[in-house]
Amino acid sequence: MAQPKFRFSEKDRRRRKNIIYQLFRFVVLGLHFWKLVRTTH
Amino acid sequence: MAKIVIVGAGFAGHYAALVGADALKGKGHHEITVISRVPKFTYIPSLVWVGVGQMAAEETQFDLKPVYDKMGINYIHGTVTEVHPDEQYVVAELPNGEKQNVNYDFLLIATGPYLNFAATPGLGPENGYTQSICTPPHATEAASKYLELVNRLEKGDRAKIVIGTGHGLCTCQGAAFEYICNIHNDLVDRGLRDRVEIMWLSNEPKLGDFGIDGLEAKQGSLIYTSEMMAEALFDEYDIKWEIRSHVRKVEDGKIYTVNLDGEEKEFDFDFAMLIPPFKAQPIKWIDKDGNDITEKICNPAGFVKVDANYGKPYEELDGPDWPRTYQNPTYKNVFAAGIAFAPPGPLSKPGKAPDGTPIGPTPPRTGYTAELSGRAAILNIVDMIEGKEPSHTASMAETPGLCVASMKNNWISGEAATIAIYPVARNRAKYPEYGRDIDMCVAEIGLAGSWFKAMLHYAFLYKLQAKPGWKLIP
Repeated sequence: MAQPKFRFSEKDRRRRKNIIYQLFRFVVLGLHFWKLVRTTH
Repeated sequence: MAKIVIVGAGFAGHYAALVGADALKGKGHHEITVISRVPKFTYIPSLVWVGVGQMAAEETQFDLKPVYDKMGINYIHGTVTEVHPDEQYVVAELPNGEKQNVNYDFLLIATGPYLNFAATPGLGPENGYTQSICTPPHATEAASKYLELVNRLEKGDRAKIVIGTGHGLCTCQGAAFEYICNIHNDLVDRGLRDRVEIMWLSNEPKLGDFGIDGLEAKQGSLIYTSEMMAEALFDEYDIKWEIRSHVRKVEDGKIYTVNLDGEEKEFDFDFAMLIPPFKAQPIKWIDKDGNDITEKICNPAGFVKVDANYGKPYEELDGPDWPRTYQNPTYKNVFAAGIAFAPPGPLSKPGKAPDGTPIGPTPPRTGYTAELSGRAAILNIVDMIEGKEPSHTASMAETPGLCVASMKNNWISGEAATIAIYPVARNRAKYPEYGRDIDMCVAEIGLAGSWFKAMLHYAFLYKLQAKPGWKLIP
């Protein structure tokens, strides 16, 4: 059976633009980037 | 006293010069000379915004000479045309046409790519019909042509836009991906999107491959792939796609392609931005007897061979085959970094059309990866000056790839895809299932990415001008 295609949900779209949620993700992703960068420096 | 010559002043060469000058401080009188054919550094990731007319090219650049004066680095504005590795000198052609021989004890080749528009008839802004965002003049011209199209659309015209790669062996799909998303969002903001058909045309074996064989990341219990992300995004943006394709030729308003299934297709366009294939800057390698030994030192595309395992088929290529120290195996005092080093093979699955036309992305080694290789190479040169063996490594199979793909540049309504992979080149010897540590991989679209992208623009331009505290910025 063919896999259903992945599509962004309304919730995904709202989160992408939500400043509060994105501030949180900015911190989380920033820390993740920093962790990866530290593996090489 | 050791003389180090660095050829090229992009991410790899320029950063290597700064790191080298800093590392050699207080270790005797050593000399670093950078030879670059362009007197400015360009922060290439921001050219995508120049190409949409949202940023002036000058905002992505700074003059190299004042930075080198401050750091005690010599600078020669010129193009290196020959390397004489036995006699240890390079020949630089100066802007006035004169030639200058520059002696070295250690050489780092970090020339970046030669944009090979000639590989596809009709490709490119100079002798063809398509645009490019690979250099500041090209991005500026692309913006001008795009804004001309916008004028026509405002008068009621309809148009077709094609964005992607202009040859079966291109790399840098990420830059084209950023451009297509920025164009889409710019047209939405102008209220013109419904008058335009936008198409993604690329040599990727699957959507979201980006020349890195795509990526997988965990999202809750879901294994989320870059293919799913790109497909869902293009569906949302109403962007059609045509992948697995080589552009055979471009005529005024028409692109001719062949794909991996052998289907020959034609696409009309009013505006097209197609990334050209890269080859190495044309540099001849000449031995002490005057023989051209370029084929011995470089791969067929002219990229300098380093400490990689060359010659393995794609299926057998794995993490340990990727170079670690970036030292040339024949001349131990020669290193190559960034795009200038010869990769052992592609990251993405290569293919061939039935007529034998190769179609598959060549590996990207730009931006952060270029910086890391340049840094490792120069620190290895410092090791050798100190009488040690090269000890610094930056294998693409051991280092992360960090990429923020802009989709719309705005502090409030912007969007970008934040992508992290570890490592860049799949390393199945270490990570048998995916070749990568997928707990460390991320692919996420959102406003936060847009903030990262803007922040990286300022942070890199600050760091690379060696302003106070530059060493604190990784």
